[in-house]
Amino acid sequence: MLPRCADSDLVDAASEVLGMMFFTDVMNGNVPSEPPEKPLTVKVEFQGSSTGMLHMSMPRETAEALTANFLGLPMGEVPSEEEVNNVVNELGNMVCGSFLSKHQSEELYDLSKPEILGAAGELPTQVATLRRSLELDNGMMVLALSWDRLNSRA
Amino acid sequence: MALRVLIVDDAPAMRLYIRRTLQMSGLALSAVFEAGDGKEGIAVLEREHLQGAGLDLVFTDINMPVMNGEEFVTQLQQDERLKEVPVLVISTDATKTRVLRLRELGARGYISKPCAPEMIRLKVEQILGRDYAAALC
Repeated sequence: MLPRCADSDLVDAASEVLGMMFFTDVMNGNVPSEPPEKPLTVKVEFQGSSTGMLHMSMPRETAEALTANFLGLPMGEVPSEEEVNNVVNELGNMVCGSFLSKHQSEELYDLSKPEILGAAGELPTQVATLRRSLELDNGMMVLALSWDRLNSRA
Repeated sequence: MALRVLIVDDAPAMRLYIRRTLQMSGLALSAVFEAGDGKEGIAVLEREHLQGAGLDLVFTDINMPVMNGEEFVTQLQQDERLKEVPVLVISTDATKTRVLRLRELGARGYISKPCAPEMIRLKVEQILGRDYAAALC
């Protein structure tokens, strides 16, 4: 059963992180879409009163645009692969942490070090309980939140 | 005189973000040091604050390997030579329990990510004093 408000909390968390620190607007928080081809995917696990993981997947072009915004790169400068991986890791960390803070503000939890999945890394279609595709003003991304136990917000 | 700041965070992208935000905020900076975890942070403090020109402010993350933010703040507060250096926590973990715990441990301020760049400057002014921060511009 979907915990109450988890879907809106997840989209709100992503929107706030992208807006405040990546200068990127979420145009639509739930668009029907196929997973991106050859995506860049980051995984963050959380453990505490709730346990689970967040996968965030996006096309390479989206990851580069977000990285350029976050680092304040000059227009037209393409970030390195290391920069993109570092920034996407931090984006995953912030969205997961922000979601948990919204959804379970009284609880303590630990986040794993974000992990970029290899070329074969795909979203966990079978175990993901909540999945949202976001249309951004400079690309798109897919969020997949899965958990063993997630308390309903009071 | 300009600010000497230490940023403790295991995420290189976040260290760069804080550094750039400080540089663009109008605050006068004379030095910005970086550390990837609390243990490295302690080493920088011992070198730069005790033996060097001093540090005015420390930013720290919470979730880090080797020595996390809570352990880092605790160790600073237990060291009479270092406890005077104000610590500003910046983290995605904004749960009430965590914020209260960090304050009890001795952190002077808390910024939850995501945070707009102006929030970082505002917190620096709150901790160091508006007049002090303004005089540095």
